[in-house]
Amino acid sequence: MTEARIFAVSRHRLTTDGDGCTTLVTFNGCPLRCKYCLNKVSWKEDGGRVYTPETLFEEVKIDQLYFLATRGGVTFGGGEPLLQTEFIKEFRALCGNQWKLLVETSLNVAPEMVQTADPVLDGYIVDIKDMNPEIYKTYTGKNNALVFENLEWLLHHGDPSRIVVRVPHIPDYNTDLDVAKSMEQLKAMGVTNFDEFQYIIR
Amino acid sequence: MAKGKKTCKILKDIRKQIAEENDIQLITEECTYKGDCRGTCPRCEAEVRYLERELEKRQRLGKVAVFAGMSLGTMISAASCDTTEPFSKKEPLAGDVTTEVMVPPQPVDPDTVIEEPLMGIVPWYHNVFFFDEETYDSLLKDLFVYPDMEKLTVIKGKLPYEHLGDGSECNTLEKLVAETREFSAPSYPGGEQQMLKDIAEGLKGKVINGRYKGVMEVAFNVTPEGNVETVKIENGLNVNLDAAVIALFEQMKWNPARYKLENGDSSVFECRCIQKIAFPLK
Repeated sequence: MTEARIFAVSRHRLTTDGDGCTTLVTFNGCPLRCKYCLNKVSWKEDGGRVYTPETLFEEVKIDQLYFLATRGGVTFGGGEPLLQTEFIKEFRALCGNQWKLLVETSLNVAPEMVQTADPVLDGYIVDIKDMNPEIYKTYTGKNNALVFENLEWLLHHGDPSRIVVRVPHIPDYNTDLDVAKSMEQLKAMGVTNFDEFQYIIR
Repeated sequence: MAKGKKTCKILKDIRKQIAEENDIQLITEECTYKGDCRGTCPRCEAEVRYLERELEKRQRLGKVAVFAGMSLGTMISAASCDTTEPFSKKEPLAGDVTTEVMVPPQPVDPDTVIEEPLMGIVPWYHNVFFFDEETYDSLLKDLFVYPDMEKLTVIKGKLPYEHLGDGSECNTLEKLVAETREFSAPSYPGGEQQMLKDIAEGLKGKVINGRYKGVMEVAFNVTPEGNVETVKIENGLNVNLDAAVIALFEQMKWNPARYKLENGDSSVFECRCIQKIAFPLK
């Protein structure tokens, strides 16, 4: 039976993690080590609580009415949700096709993970950090070759409008010019939806 | 305004809109709680459960729940919500209305002469037996409950659709019931345990992905010939298991419903049943 460690299930998210009313489910486990990570608790592989797709479905279906009324659903984040593709696939089989399932992802995973999960997902919120490989490596600790590869694949295998790329201004790591260059590069690849925003360090 | 209270207001507005779109009476009160909250509370959750029950009742009457594309952007602005970064710069959902509402067939004109007995006509959303006028008059008007079936309802003579509509009409319908010791419900040859064994045998070797624990409700017609038709899963577990169970039921042969007439003869009738099956099968 597929299991995953989940450290938070956050109800009634209103347009912050997808259209409509959504429940954010955040997995443990992440390949990156971002300097300003909001959810460092997700780095603990043995943290959180163990769920199966069934137990998660039983917990989140309490808000099904809001999902259907607002065309919302469940957004998987973390951590890196695309490390849990089997879990997400089984969850889709339980919830049916009316719920929207999204992932908030770095896309820094093996391509087969993306390609396995894609048929059951309705959209992607991709935090690109920065398209410059050096800036990316400095900020996250990993290179972004897989991000390029996966983003290209997604843009060529489905409707680009289902992908929103979040392009952050990261204090001390990138500049406005770096962000502008990232946006140009992403537009040239075919990305149509952007969310340019500022990391706020507290 | 605290974030939780804003969330509460938006969710309340969503509930109100659901009620309006589906003609459900929903009486809400202004929340007087002064402190911050998570955006929901037992009272709010109870309203959601109430709406779900009402929508389920309407589904049983053949109506599809109507959800207009609710614009959360507009609701959030109205609540003066100080949101965090928006998901996207896309326009909020347009308020397009989906109007896929299924209604039962239109009722027959009460003055229409129905030349043939209406035995065998069964709407899918109720356990209903149809008798001609003479048979109905001989029945006692009390409720009959089978241990493994939903309550049975007997309708006099004409097509039942004229009696059915919104909830208030359904209550009237529920009063038209009959009890008789001369009546037997449809039954599976060998009994319920045999049926469960046969279902288990039929599912053996099939790889069925998805949820496999819970109680499934299977609704189906048993014809006077004992065939099983119009199988529908009322409370499924997962699409794969549901489909496999439907296929099994469509192959079954049942003993049809019987009613003993005054002259001692027995007559078979079409009947719709709801069978509950608990998975995993033991």
